[in-house]
Amino acid sequence: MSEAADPRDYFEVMLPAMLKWKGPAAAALGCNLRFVVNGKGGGTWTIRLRPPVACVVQGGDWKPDLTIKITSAEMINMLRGTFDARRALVEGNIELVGDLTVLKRVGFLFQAGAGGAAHVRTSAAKRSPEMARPA
Amino acid sequence: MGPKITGERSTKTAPDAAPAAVDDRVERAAITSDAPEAPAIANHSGEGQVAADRWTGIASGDSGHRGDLGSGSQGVSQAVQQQSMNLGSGLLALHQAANELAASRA
Repeated sequence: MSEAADPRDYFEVMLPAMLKWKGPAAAALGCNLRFVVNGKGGGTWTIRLRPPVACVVQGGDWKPDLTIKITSAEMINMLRGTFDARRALVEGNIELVGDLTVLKRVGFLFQAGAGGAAHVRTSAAKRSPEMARPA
Repeated sequence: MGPKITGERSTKTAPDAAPAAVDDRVERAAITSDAPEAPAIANHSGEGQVAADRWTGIASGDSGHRGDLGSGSQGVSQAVQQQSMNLGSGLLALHQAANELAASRA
């Protein structure tokens, strides 16, 4: 099992770096996804996937297209890759409010991480600045 | 006569292939040199700096502002990529599970 950051570390340090790396592809989704994490390391963060630049904003000032209320333990499970979505929903550890298609769009964006890494590694060897920016 | 094929692996490599040992450093260098301006976040005092120090591959920046990710060398480590991929998989699983539960209740 891989080590996972606590939710605060993830949303405030790691995710902004990841969104920066994703570049325009993240901003092109055109939606806001809010996480309300309850428990240790919890808090409220809104992932703004809108132009000009995708970013993470602490708090709930921005109107979300989808809100995910989740326990800290389940959030850590998700980051570790040990998340059982059906069980979490049935047990009430997750609550979804809003447009569920946002899950699919954002999910595909992040799941494409491995391809992006390989892309960057190859481009680094070639020293091509254009290729270093994932689309 | 065609090339002789033996059980040995060729030692010839592509001219632009990076050695495995430096892959991670090469990757970080590429990301940090051309990344666009960072979004503003993590202005909670000190905690961003601590986390950035803990998770290799994310530099805290050279601006002197603690927790500021807006400048300086930055990149994404394998750990960040892996956890973001896990988050993506989790969101997709959540989408499927939510739809299945809704259908079963209908």
